[in-house]
Amino acid sequence: MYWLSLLIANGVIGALCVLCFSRADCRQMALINALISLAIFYKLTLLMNFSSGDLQQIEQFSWINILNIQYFLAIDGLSWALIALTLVINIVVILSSFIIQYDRMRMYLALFLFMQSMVIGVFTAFDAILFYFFWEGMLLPMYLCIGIWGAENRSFASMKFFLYTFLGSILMLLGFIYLGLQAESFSFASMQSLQLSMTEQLILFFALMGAFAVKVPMFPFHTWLPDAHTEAPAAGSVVLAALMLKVGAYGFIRLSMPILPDASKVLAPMMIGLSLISVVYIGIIAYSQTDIKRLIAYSSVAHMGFVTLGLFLIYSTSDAGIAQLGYVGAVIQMISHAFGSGSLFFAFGLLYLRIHERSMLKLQGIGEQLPLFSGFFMLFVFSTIGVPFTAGFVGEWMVIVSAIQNTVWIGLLCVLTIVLSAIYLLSMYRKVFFGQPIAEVALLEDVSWQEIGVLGILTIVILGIGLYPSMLVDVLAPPVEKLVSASLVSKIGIVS
Amino acid sequence: MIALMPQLLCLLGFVGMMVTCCLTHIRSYTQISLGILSLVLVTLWMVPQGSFWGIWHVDLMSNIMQSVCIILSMCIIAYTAKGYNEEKFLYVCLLILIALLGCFTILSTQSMVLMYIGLELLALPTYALCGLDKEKGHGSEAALKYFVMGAVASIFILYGMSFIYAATGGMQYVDIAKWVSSNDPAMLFYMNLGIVFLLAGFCFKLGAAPFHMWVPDVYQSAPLGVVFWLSVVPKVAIAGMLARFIMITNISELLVWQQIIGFVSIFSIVYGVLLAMRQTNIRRLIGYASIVHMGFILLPLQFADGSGVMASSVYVLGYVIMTLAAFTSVYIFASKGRNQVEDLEGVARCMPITALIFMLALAAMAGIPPFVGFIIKLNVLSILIKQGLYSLAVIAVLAVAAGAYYYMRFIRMMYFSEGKMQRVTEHRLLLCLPVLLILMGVFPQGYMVVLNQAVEEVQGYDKG
Repeated sequence: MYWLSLLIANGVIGALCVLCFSRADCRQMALINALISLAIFYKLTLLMNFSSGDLQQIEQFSWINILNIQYFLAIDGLSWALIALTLVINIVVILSSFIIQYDRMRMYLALFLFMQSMVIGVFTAFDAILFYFFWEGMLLPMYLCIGIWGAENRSFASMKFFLYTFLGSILMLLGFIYLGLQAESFSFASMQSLQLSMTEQLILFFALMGAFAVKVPMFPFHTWLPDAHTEAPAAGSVVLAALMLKVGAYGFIRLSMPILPDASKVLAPMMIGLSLISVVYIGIIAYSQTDIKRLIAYSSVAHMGFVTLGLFLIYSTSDAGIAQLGYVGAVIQMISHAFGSGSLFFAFGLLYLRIHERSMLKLQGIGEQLPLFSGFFMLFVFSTIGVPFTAGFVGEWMVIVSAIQNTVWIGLLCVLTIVLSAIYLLSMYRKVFFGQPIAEVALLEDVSWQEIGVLGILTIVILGIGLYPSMLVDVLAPPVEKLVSASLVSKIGIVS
Repeated sequence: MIALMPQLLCLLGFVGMMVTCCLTHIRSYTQISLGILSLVLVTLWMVPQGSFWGIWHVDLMSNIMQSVCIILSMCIIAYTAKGYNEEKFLYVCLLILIALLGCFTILSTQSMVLMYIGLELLALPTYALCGLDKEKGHGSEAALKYFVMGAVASIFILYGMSFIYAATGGMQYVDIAKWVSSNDPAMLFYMNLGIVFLLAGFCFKLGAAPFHMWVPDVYQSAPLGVVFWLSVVPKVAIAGMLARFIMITNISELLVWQQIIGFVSIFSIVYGVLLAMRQTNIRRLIGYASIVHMGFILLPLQFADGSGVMASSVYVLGYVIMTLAAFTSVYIFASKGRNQVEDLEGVARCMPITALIFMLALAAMAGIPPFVGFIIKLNVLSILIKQGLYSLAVIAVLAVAAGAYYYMRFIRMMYFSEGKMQRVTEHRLLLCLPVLLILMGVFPQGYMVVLNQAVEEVQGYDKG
């Protein structure tokens, strides 16, 4: 059975059904569709062999012969973890639609179901053009999502988001075409076995980086993110933070590093430098924000810096174990950041629904009025900071250990970020949640049972990863081992 | 004579329609013209394929392109019939029939004389069509501009042909092929001069920058149904003619041809994108966007091998579908009095289906997968990279990214703001257009293989 295709098709079909056939019951319909996806995923999980790092469930057909393009889907432990993340986040998004009402609900849900399919497609595609199909497929729905349901400045933010990502990805497309013509096939495997000179690799690295660095986002390319996050509706921010950013890091993992290992090695100091700038400088910027959503967005950029840092640290160590530790840490950081930032955005969405105010200067004393909500928010803040026993701690700790083993000062800078993020997140928390409730806040009601349900799902995941990370590590270790060794093999020297 | 059956039928249909409709009171022009055209379409595929008198070819390539022209004309006549008054609609049907005769001629011929006649046969009815709304503001201005410049372009083509005749000593495509293979340096100067003039004329007819001056004006002021027709059918015909011309004459092996085509195409892409950004009139904007597409159609024609021609023909097909979808919605918008970009504010609310079609057509034009616009651009780009023209590929790609801005501006207008209009009833049948856009984008293998086969067939002809 073609479970992967089925999983992707299910979301698209669900989106069409919601758009065309549902009237009042569109949310139930979307939820049922998401649950079907989950069932398919469960079946897929049963069929997986997690102890092997090889590609599984391969679906390979010729698609556009004239251009050597294949339809090539597969899955390994890394993709599995990211698909699980996608499905959980999507269920949260659909459940949140029962709480936060919007206009044009059918289109809203259809777009999210469609985006879910596209993201899963990106994580499972092993042909560059197919990958690009899914990659760009996310773009228009997200553009519409920010533009239609966003805040006042949505038009500008959505256009900025679109142009940044489109420009980046179209440069990636040129890189793909070049690689595909050289390898006479667009599949990742044949690109990986291609011999490339240093100059070629460097140019291609920058072409691919155009797309990935914008999505991650890395330091000089991050300016679209605060705008997009701030203006997007709550669920849009959740999907942006939890899924869209991961796609960029996934691109580095799956494409840039294994296909262009020598260029990655040469440029690793630059990437590490940019990541450190993200981590430290963006952290300082985040501290100066007064808009809560903007602050969470900047903290998102800062924490994604850990991911790229952990990935590119493998080039500056000779010890394979340490390299792998940082790499696995980076991947876990991707997942935990998705839940940390995603739940912060979601929780803030609930608050915004009540009070329609984003500035932390105008809010005070929410803790007294909404104790339960404040408890959940506290947990999410802790997870984002990286307090032990929460999801955020695991990834950051692994990256920091790997960094200190490499170069002490990089490790120290990393530790500094944890302090920084504690400063800006906790001072935000103090201003907003502590103190005497102001007049507007005194009228608010605490979270309802529905809301507790959604927040509870996020809490369980965050605590689950934090308390028992070894399951995730076991799933990730075999594919990571393969990817690390592929990323370390030089392609020059062996002249074909 | 049997080879000319479809063309004769078209001519007979034209004469018959003119006589009967002028003398009697038959008023069902749509049915009559659609009947004639479908008859022509059927005979087109029944005529035996082959070469006739050395100057006329009936083959897969010509049949495909001619069928595309006929089907598009049929769709547009049927769709826009209600937009004209009775008298004008008769003119439209008759003039389109004559212009189609010109399309057939240039698509099948292998001689420059017939090519010129065909081009004129195509151009003269077009001038008249553009001036149909002569009583409206800019109607006659655009028509006159088009006519004067078009006449000059025709003279350029004729002038260029005379130089080529001087160099090669023949008016047939194969004569040029012979000259190209012998490569006589004494006559190179005349050949180059001829190519310069010829290409200037062709690029004018296609509407590629810097010979594009008529495009925005005609798009803005001519009757919308005419613009609809003008933006697809003549372009298919001329691109098909160029494809045959290049494959039989091998003229793209000459350096001057490559340089001019390379310059014109890149200039069209960049210039079209830059000017489109500042337009506020929907039709003008689509006019500039079409200049960009013409650049992409010309871009692969600078290569001597068949893959370039194939990419160009594939792009033409994709362009036609995208333009069809876009103009279908522009036509509906215009019938509600919305002609400026600002007028589209909030139409997603009152005309959801039309807005959806327009959005998907624009996304296709911007080159976003899974729509057809992506795969055809991928095809062109991969040929550029295969030939090592990286700088051209990068410029084209940057222009595409910048072009996304003005396409997205439409979507922003339609979807991001609230309109206060009444809900309008719409045809759900029109939704087959975006489905076609997606199907052609996701399953391009079929038509690409057929076109490839057609190109290889033409390329394999005996070149004397």
